[in-house]
Amino acid sequence: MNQKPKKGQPLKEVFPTIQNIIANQLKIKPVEIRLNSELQKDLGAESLDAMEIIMYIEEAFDVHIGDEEARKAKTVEDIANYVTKKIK
Amino acid sequence: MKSFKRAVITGMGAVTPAGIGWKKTWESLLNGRSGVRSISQFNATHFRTQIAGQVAGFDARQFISEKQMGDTERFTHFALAAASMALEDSQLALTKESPEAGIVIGCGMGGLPYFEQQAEVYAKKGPGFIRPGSVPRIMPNAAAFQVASLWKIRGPNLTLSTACSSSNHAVGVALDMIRTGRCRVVLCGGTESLLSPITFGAFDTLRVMSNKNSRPTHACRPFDRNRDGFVMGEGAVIFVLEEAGHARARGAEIYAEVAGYGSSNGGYNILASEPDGMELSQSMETALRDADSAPAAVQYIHAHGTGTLSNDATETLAIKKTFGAQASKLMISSTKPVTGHMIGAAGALGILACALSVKTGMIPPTLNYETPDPACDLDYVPKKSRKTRVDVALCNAFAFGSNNASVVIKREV
Repeated sequence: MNQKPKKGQPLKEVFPTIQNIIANQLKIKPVEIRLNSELQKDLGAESLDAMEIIMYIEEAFDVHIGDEEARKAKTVEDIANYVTKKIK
Repeated sequence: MKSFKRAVITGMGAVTPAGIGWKKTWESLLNGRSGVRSISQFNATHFRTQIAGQVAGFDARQFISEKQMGDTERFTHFALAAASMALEDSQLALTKESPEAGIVIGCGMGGLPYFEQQAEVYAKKGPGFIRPGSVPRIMPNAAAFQVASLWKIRGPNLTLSTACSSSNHAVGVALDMIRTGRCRVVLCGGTESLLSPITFGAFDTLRVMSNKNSRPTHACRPFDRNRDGFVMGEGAVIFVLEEAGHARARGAEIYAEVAGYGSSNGGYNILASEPDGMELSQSMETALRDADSAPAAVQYIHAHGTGTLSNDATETLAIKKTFGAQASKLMISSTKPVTGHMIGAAGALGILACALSVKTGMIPPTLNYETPDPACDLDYVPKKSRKTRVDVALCNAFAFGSNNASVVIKREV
């Protein structure tokens, strides 16, 4: 896992970790994942994949993403935004 | 009540400790090449039993995508691989059949090894860290779902979980689906993989497994006086079961007919059948009646033959009850010394042996049978395979929970 980002760090600092988590869950290459990629529409994630990805991200960054936020997270950028907001 | 529709096996796939593919498995069964080894899937050093039949040289990626493999457990990998081989073997254009095709897969305990991993996560980190993908990995019907998903099969999709008899019931229920016209094609059989510490340990403390750890390939000894328990196995066997007219119309190669299915339970003891053999005999008798076969027509029985003290003696008694004087003329064998007891796939392996005995005229032996037991005094085809014509064979599978099932296999005419 990459060095833990700090609060206020820009999206590009957390993106590589998120990219790797998504790539590992979906068994795709990290370069296929962009900030504006939609998890389900563009990357082929099923609802269960999305839940696994959210949970891996919670563990990696030691943050809690609420049910409502998890449901609303469509793009990789949505997730990255939650993460940067919540990092302690 | 039977209809006139008949069901035949037109494809077979196997992933077993005896080999990948039915041909390699069959060769090992005939030649007594046992896949029982010291357990390598977890550290079994401190267990009473430290051996099992383990599938070796298996790479699920030869059959499924990296993603499907990552989302599923070993018992599902086995089922997908066996189904893939069975479909290829049958040369069936499943896309044409898939809206009406069915699935019936036997599985005793599903993905309990993954449950064990999650129990450890819970103990170390707490409830919020249990993987959300656990349920669809662990449930015994995960394998059947993945098979349906991969080939877009849209008919009935059942998973039968009756421990060691699961796949005999699965093939029996698939037979009924064909007979009634509910399906023309059913993928049926069984799958299991339970080699993880807690699940294996639960069998270990039951003291039902052999502890001949120093000689793994000699440990499982069905019907032998020195038997001391079964040996756990793993794997999957899947058949393409097809309505006979449909199979003939497309010129399919037919291995054998699945001609009858019988079942019984004794409600006696969750871990043992009635010692008088009544409930086991009832299973065989109902299967023979269902197949319109007189006991005298049977040449070969693939016995449940676990190698436990009680099973083998009671099964012998039940065979005598069912067949009377004919019992001593029967050839009876158990292939569990070669594969270990594949639990939810055990019956399907026996049906495979019966189908191939009918097709090839070869009877697989009971490996390790050396010393006669007065309680087991029939012909168990010891050590060496036998060449003879088989027209009718019977496969027994008996289970914890008193769920007995017998399936009759006939030469297709």
